[in-house]
Amino acid sequence: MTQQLEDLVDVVRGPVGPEQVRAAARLMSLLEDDPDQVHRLRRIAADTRPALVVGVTGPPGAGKSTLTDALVTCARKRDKARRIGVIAVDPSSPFSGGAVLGDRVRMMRHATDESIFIRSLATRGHLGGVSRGARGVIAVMRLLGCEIILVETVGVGQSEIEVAQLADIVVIVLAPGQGDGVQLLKAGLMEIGDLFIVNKADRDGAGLLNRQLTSALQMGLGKRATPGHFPSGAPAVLMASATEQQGIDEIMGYLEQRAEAGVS
Amino acid sequence: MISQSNHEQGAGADAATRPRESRALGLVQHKRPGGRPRILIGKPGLDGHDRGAKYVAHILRDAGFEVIYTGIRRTPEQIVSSAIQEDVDAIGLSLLSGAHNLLFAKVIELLRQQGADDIVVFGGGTIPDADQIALKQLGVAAVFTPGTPAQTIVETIQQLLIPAKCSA
Repeated sequence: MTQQLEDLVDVVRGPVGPEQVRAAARLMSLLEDDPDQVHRLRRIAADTRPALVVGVTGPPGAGKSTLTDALVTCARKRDKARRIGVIAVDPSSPFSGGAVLGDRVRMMRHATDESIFIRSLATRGHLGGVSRGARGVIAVMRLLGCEIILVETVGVGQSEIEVAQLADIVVIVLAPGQGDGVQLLKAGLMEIGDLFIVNKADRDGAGLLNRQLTSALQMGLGKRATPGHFPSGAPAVLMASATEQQGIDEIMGYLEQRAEAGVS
Repeated sequence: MISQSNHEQGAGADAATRPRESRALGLVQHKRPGGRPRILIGKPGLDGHDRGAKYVAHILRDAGFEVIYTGIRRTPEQIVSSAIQEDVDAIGLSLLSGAHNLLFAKVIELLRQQGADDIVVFGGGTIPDADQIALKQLGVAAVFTPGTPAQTIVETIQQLLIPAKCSA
């Protein structure tokens, strides 16, 4: 097992090409199946470059996958040389243990882009919104030289906030029609967001949701230590429509600005 | 039929009492301990009839597989690239357009070129018997035509993925 891990790491550190991709994918599987091996990986590959890990989370149906896809496209355009990793998590069936991993389907236009590595993970019974395998996959993506790693969680409720531990920046994606101002008072998701996106901005209720969110954040209901705010002091709420490609540049701009400011 | 097969595999009655993280149902002995079999399902070419593909994705999920569903109108390049990144054990291609000979051959060729020909390829759709023989010679491990029972599909795939039959 150790030898296999080391052999795979050697190939991943090697030249860019099909062999590297295959080895990286296999390494991810190895670490997903045995998450404790991540420590071994970190020991032998301590020299990996830092990456910006962006968590993308929110309730089911808010548009996380579509938004992640749009962000990848945008990041690509802004810097053609940069390698990008995407982790997309979907729930495992509590009855059969199987899963349909249906996030990648929204990002298929990137499937043959050699600079974009997409990996789908099932939660495998793990609660918290991500999966035990995610840390390992992030480590391999760093090894591959990914500068940005987007981690898209399952559709979450109010308590699945594990992504906050994995990510440097947490983006909360909300859509109109999923609750009112009182809903936003509740704990959990509101407390981990660095940036709040009102997605599906073209729909009724988007403006209202924006106002409610902004008001909740101004009241101090956001993250305690570093509340999500723009440099101007305004709460970090942005309108977007992933399907209409609106607001994506602004989101990317904010992420790059936070990266430069040295988020770790 | 699906719930019946789940019950026979013991997933039904004691599912609620079994701890979530050890829900290995002993379905497929994966080549990696602690691993789960992963299958990519996609539709290459231009046909958009995805009901069959979604059905197979669903029954495989119910049998404990992790299914990466890649949708319709994909190129062989997109399918193979995805399969490699996802480190799947098998690829299932659904084709009702008549272009199966060409597209299966392309997928198998791409897998070979990228050093991934240990990934099992199976297919589904309206594929005539004569063509199925040719496809098997190409390296397609199984072909499921419309009407194949769910049980048959699941058991055949489980057989194909038994570690002894996988090349190391």
